[in-house]
Amino acid sequence: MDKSAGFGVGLAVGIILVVLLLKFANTDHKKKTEYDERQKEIRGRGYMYGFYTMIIYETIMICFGMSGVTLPVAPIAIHFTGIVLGGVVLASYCIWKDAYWGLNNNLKRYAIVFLATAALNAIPLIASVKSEGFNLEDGPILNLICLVMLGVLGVEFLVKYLMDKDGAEE
Amino acid sequence: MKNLKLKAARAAKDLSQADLAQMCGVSRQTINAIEKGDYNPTINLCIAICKALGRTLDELFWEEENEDAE
Repeated sequence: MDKSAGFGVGLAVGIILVVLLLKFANTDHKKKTEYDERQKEIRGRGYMYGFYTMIIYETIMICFGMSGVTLPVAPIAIHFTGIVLGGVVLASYCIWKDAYWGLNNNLKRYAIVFLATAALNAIPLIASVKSEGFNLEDGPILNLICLVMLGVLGVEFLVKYLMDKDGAEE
Repeated sequence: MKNLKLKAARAAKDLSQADLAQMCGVSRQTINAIEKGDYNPTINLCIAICKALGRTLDELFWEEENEDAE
């Protein structure tokens, strides 16, 4: 199997897994997460910030490309980073404004989904590093980007949880 | 501006923010934001809160001018 076919199969398996895991993670076993009116408003703003982040990032990358600067990573990773960056901005904004978790989310089950996603990304990365060494241009760079994203969000969840722990209800 | 009337009405019914949130179909943080004055709810949510607490819109959400000045 060549690399592009492997990427396609990985993506398809990932999407199927996400759908199954989301059904398992919501308390009403629906794929769609329900939000209240305040959360929808905040998420709208979060999507806007995420969109602007992606536009700015892609503009910078286009400028790099036009000026002949080549980055030592695979081209697919450059665009994937833009998508992930936009997603992280959206998620971070929602976490801080209490609009990340929906009304029908089960946090414990979501924690399991997060850990499973981290494991699914860590396994090919560790296997590749063991067999070929650390390679940013040809290795499983997308898995590394996903792991960094999960790490950033994990730290944010933890900090937010500790901040809210004491003064949750005034 | 803090909505102390809502907080008092909720306390009078011995409800937590989470209880009221569940009755109104919103998150606890949304009730907290309304009580702290950080979020202006839509009329639909105001009505849902009033029904849950057995109060009128005037009793919970109407601010008299002299109250604003205080």
